[in-house]
Amino acid sequence: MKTFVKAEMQVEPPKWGDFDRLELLTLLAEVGRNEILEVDVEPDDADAEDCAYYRVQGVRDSGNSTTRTALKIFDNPSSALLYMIVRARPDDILNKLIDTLERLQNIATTAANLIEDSAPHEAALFRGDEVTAKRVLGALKKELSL
Amino acid sequence: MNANFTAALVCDVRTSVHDAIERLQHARGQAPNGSDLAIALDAKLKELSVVDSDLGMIEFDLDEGEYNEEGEYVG
Repeated sequence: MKTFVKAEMQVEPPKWGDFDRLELLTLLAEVGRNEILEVDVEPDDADAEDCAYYRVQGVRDSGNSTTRTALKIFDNPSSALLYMIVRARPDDILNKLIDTLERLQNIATTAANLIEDSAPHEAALFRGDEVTAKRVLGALKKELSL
Repeated sequence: MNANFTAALVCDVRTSVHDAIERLQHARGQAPNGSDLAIALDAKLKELSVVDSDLGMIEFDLDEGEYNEEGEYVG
């Protein structure tokens, strides 16, 4: 199984050349790869005037596996788009789903309470979301033996 | 749990988030501008947008094939 987590970030053209290790580590942590301890950035030869490639290597602290990621920085007149692909383990995705469902459940609960009086029909639908999220959360946590 | 199931699950959760956003937007439209309810619903809409954006970062490549050490698909 090949599962990827993609992160995109807008950076200003004058800055992308100075993109430093700390920023990359922050970006990797943002997509849930906080076990990555080190990132090496090596600019590659740009094969087009408006496109530069960066190679990034992330080293995981568990096991012997090395996760390599590829970074592409696309430049355009107004902004640059940083595009990163990170290999993710299936458990990472499931953990991300659990986090999402927990947030969705909390938001549904709050939303239902907020509109209980003004929009009871919509509030009931949010109660349904709450129940569904709870049920799926239970199944996912069981799958991950949490 | 196989890749197809996980991919379907991500898709389902994202659909639920989109539905919730639509309902919140509808409820927000009914709330008087500037009211406490409108402010609270705006905040929840913002939270849901972040959730949606996070989920949008997950992509699946279920094709068979190999990737080189630079992370590029080599078939």
